[in-house]
Amino acid sequence: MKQVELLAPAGNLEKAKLAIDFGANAIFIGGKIYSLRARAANFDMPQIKEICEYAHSKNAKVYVAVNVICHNNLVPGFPKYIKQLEECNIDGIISADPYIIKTTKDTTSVDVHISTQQSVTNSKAALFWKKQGSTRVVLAREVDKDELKKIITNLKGEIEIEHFIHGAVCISYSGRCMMSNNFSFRDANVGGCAHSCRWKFDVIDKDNNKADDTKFTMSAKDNSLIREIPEMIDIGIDSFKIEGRMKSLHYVGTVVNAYRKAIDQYYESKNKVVNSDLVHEINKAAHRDTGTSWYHSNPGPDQMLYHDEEKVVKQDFAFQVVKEIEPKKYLIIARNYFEKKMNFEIFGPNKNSEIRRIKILSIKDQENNEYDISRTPMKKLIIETNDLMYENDIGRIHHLYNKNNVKLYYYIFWRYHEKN
Amino acid sequence: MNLLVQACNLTNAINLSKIGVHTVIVGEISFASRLPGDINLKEIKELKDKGIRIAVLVNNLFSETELEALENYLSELSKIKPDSVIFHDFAVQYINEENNLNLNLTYHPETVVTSYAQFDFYKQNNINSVCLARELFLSEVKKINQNANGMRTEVQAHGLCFMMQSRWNMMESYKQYVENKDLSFSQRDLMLIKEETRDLGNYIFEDRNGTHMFTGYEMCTVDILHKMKKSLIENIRIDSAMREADWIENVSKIYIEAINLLKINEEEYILNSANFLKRIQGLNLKTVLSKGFYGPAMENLHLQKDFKGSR
Repeated sequence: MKQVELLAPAGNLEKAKLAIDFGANAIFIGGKIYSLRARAANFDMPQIKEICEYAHSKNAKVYVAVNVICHNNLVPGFPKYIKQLEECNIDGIISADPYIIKTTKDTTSVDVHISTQQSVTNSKAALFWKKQGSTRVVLAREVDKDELKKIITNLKGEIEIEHFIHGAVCISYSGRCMMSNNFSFRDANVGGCAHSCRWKFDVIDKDNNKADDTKFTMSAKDNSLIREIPEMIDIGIDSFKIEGRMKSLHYVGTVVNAYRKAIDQYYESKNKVVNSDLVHEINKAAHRDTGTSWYHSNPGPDQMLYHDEEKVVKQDFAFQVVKEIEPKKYLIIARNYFEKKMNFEIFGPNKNSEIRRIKILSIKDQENNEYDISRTPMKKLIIETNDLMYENDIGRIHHLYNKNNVKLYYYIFWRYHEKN
Repeated sequence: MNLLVQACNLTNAINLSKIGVHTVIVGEISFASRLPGDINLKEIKELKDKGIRIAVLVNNLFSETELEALENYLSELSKIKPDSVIFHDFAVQYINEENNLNLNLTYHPETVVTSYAQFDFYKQNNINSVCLARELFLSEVKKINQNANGMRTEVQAHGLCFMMQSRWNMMESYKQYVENKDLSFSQRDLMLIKEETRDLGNYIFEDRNGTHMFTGYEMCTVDILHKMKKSLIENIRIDSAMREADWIENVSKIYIEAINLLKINEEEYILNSANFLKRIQGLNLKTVLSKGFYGPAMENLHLQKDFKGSR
């Protein structure tokens, strides 16, 4: 039985390798040009070649987002660009521009996946794209569960279906939003989205009076469908897509790890209830409140972020293990502020590994100076721990929660008990 | 230069044809978005029987459950033989080919036709007419038209400009959130949303197809038709969302007069262009006019944070 593909975002080489190590069957990346998410680091050609070799050695695939809608000036350079991508041995491109799609089909053997920027919402549109030689369609985010079932039934496997399961949501039909272009001269369809939908607006009536004192926004909660994974596997979706090429290494590791486990657990147990620990786990990487967007049909006010404060990006990602020096002694790379006395959670690419809790016994730099606190991101340090870790494991500050689910930083808790 | 205008009802469509509109755009909300009113199949047939050039707007993005109705609608349209069917969802093209309906298709995705290089793809799929994105400068439009190679192109010349469509019922959700039952966001309510730091708001309404957002200014090109002609623009359109029959007819009359003058005497047109603009301004008591992306950067009024528009 063909298993669903878990497709992860990767904004740079490091995130790409981590996503594959943590269980993604495929990653999607952007090149330096012809890709939305212009502010992500993105990949140059040697890096694309490198990640393709790395991915293929691990039976994973690499899709390149070539998802700009070209203006005239971008046209002449594309034939050379797509040839270069083909030479890198990529597994496909994700595109919405008819010119890019046709040129790719006419001049290369690269697979074309139709981007969600084309807003495909039904089987006939999907079949149109099949007729153009495309092998996969990324459905519009606005397709709900019942529509998904019907689309997949009616397609009878003629073209693969990819669907978003996690990440930020566009409130507009993708590719059909000109807010950024009008408000900021930044064309969202060539990677310049200013996220104007997250702004606050007054509502004004035709007599030029405020219709209500409460501000209006189009800001939607992020999508998180981890509880729905068993049902979505049964529906027959071919690829589960995680959004977020701009997101951090911690996000990629945490989210991929949780969905990998949810998928594997369902295939192994056929248990339709997803382990609540995985739901909790996903929330540790959340940047905003999460909901289920369109999955359960026509989202109402509970799926919007009206005046809820957007969560501050948490700096829980403490370090990543570079290599073992000796058992329980590791070279790590610090990612954010952390203290020796904190508690840490460790998780890693080994699919059978559980999340473990460890204590750090010592922190030293490579000149053997000892510290209680690591303040410098990206600094290489040597730590000793009370338990085993492995290469590429991620270390995260472990928080405690009170009965109202309010997070208590461990060190505050610890200090309180120390004083008393 | 041909003028296409969106009509709000049967009488309005007939009147537009009488005053010289080249093609009247009609449709109904089950299959079309952002029209000023519904015109059903029977009325479309009546218009066609009168010899009026008709383009039927079928620009919704269709859900799987709507496909059967769409197939029936397109099948009925094929019997009426409108001059064009303006579509957005490629399901329309697929159904047209699958059922040999032989409808003439115009692709109108609002925003994404931004280069001449797309045209070979459309031709390969028997689509010989497209509506260009609004967010193009005239120099870009000119280059597209210079390389059109037989593709018919069309641009919006007048009216509120589409900025975004969402399937989300955002206004209904907001109403529920603020618990204000008196709020109403239909086309006729002319509600605006205004970003905190800007003076010019954006028109917004909600219908069965979701939430639709527009510019707060009305695009007006009646005084730069000669420049558009130099950019090889041959088909211009008046979008009439949120507008009434009188406005649609009055604006159309001024454009037809301007187009006719431009055709016979360009110098005379240029001399009179300010007057045409003044007459349009006289019809727009509340909404400020702008050339959008066809004017200088200052004309993109939503960029401005200190703009003192009327609304």
